[in-house]
Amino acid sequence: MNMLKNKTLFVQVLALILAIPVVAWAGGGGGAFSAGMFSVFKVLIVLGLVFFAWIIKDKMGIPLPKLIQAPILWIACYLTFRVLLVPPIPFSLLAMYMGVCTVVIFLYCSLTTASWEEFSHPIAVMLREDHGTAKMSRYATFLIIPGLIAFQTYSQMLPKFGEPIELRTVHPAPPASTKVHNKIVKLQTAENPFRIGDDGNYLKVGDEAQYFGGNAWTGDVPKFLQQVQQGGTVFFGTAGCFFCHGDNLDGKGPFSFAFNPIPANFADSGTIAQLQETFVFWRVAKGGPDLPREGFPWASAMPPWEKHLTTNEIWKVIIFEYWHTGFFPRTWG
Amino acid sequence: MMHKIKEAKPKIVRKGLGFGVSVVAAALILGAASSASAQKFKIGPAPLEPNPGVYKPGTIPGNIEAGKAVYFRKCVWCHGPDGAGDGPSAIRLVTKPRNFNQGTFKIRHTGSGELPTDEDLFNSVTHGLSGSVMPPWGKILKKKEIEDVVSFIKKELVKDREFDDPDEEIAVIAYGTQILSSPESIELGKDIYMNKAKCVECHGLTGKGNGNLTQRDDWGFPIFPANLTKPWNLRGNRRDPYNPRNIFREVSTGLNGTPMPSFKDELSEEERWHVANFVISLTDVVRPMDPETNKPMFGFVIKSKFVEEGGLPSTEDEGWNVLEPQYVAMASQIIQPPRHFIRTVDDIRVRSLFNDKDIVFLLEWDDRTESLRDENGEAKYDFKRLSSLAFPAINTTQYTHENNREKGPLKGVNPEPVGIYNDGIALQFPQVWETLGAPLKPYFIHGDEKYGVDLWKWQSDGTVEEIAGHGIDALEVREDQNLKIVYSKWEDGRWQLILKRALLTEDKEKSAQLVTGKNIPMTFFAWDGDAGETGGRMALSTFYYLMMEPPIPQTVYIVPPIVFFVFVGLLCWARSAAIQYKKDHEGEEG
Repeated sequence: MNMLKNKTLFVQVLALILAIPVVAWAGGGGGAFSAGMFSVFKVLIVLGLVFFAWIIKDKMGIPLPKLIQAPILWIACYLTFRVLLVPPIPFSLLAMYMGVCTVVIFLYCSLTTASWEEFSHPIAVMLREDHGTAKMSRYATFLIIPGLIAFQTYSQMLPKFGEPIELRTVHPAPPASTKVHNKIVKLQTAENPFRIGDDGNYLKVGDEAQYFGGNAWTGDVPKFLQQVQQGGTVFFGTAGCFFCHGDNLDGKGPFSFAFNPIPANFADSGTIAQLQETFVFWRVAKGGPDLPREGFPWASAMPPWEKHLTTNEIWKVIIFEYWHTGFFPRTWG
Repeated sequence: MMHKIKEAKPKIVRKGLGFGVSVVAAALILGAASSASAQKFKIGPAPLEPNPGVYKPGTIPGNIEAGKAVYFRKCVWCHGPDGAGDGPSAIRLVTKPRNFNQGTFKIRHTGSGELPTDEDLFNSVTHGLSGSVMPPWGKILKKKEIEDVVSFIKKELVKDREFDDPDEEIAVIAYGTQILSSPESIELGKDIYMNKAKCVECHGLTGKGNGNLTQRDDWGFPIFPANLTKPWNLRGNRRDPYNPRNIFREVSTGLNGTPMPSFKDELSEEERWHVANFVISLTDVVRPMDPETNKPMFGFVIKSKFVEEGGLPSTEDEGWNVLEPQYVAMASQIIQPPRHFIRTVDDIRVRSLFNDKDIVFLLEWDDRTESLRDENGEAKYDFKRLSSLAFPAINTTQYTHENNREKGPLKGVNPEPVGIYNDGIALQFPQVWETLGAPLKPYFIHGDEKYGVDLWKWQSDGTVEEIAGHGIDALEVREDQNLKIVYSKWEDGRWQLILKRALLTEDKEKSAQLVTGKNIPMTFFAWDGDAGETGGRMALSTFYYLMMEPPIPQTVYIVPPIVFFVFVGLLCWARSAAIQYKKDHEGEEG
């Protein structure tokens, strides 16, 4: 009897321990843990689960009933997929994984008549027996399960007043050519006229790497860096691009917090590093209002810079953007 | 085997079952509750602080040559090749980039007029200077790079003073024992703020920085007292805006180069803590902060609540409590001519209520001065009034505008002086938004040729207009006017305004029709008259959505109980089936 009590206690402890990480995980998502702490904590959650199951089953010699094993396994799987995988997987994938897990765990429980009996017996006891604990479990179950389902129904039915989902294309298809200051620029063939080396010849894409990190201000400034300096003067002075695109060209300028869509982050490898210089020229010259409909021209705060800058200034600011971020423009062929 | 299981387990199993089910349920409920309440704002990491007492600079070693390379990649564009604060961006900024040459730094742990410690410079680069355009470089540069660039600035760009001058003894302030905020401490702090230290003279009765507006800094630029109710904009907040330590430090050291003095000798350590606690208490709401921008977090949906009984509120102080003010972020209109770079209204707080006929908006925003148009008046851009035009002329002849081959000053940098304008605010809705088909909208700055907007514009001379807009230069005041000013008041650096309009109007083409349950696109504009803002020179927001929340349908309260009883019924049925099964099989087993 004493032994039985101990075992009961252990099951209770295990159940409590199970509850702690679940609660902590739900709360932690809101920022209760700092990033570093949290990732360590995430690993501990899953390891802890395995460890306690092992202690109880193999070390303490307490046989864990299938009905307890199944949810432990299920929660361990869920936590693994949900918190351990970085970056987080989408919900649809998570649902698929958990579906497979549920089937596998069910198979594990119902593989033999004995294991199925072990799994289902306590449920049957809870349903039909009339002694104390069974009764209590039954009342709890009969209240909690319908209660949870009703609550879920209620929160689903409550009208939601969120932001509408509007999907915007970030890099729409460019036109074949664009007319800036009465000159037609063909996007397929145009070249940046300020991509020039010290000998005055055109610098092939990639060759400008020698100037990355160079000093464009003092000492003997090479021709290319002179263009960089002038482009930077446009970026920071004449045009004031940094108000949105940021001092580090990372899209975090002082006004970026007020705009939606947020300003492009050139320091990210997904923007100018993926685009031809002529595409960037088209975007700078024509700005938000010339975007096709899928680019949301009505919401973009990007000015059509042809109204404020010369063609040369636009080409120079593009030189500056690639130099500052250390990326190369994409080239044809 | 079978018997063994049956004999040995039932008790534990039953217990375990009860517990298993209830624990999982409890965990789910608790989890839901705790994630709802987990809206805490981040408390920044403990900042790097110099030890109090006498300080010798040079505690952070750095490679000057490596620092120079970093400087000419990242810093030169604002601070200039000579560190004189005259990089290309300087012409566009109101808080000018720091001129390093004099060795005058605002945010320090050292006495008034003294050089900063290495830790102070390191922190300023790492956390940036909020409210100015200096970003937090700690997220961009490596620690070593920041140390190098600090060494370079100290050695090469600070020219009038020497950091390793043996005669220069630098005293580092002590925080002592922090006095935690309490109503008593705040009350004591308020008394010091109002009477003993007279902070009120510059920072104003409610801390909105609307006191003395006639001051200049050491470099001759107009400077306005800080608005203490927006701690996230304070330069020295170290991205931890609600921490009174920052205020204690600034009260103790003063801000070199500015009119803000050090109160280390006037006020005791305890008194400075009380002031710090009072200053932090000036913020009306402690808002959750966005760690990326160091600004309050905000959503793009402006909720309007339905008022069933009684009229809509007609003053600012009754009936609005059902709503939290919603924060609308404002940028400068830097997009179309006339480009404007230095807006003073950086946020608007909005609340809205409606009944079956009308909708009301309570708009609140900070503006240090109440301005009124003065068409014949002399330009008052001396330093009597807050004005972005009051800055010394900047030589922009080095910039040429090749569009018209014109050489000379850049347009829009030093405009001709003009009279003072009205303060103003405007709400904008697309015309016929319900038929445009989402996500299509008119251009956010007053619409475009094809799609028009309905602009509701209020001005501080008491006028209110409904304007049909087809672009920044194509605004036409409409004849039928439905908009009413219910309440407007400027007090202690803050405007409060209540506007009211009928939900539905006669002109369905040009006047926005407001209906419940829809996301109605909405944009905000603001003008600060004394800062020379008028017409296209304004602050503006991006698209928000007005959501007039419909009353919750009755079915929401009826269906869940039905679902509950259906499932209880199902479980009862399962129980009777289980009992029946046992009865049927009892004979067999026995």
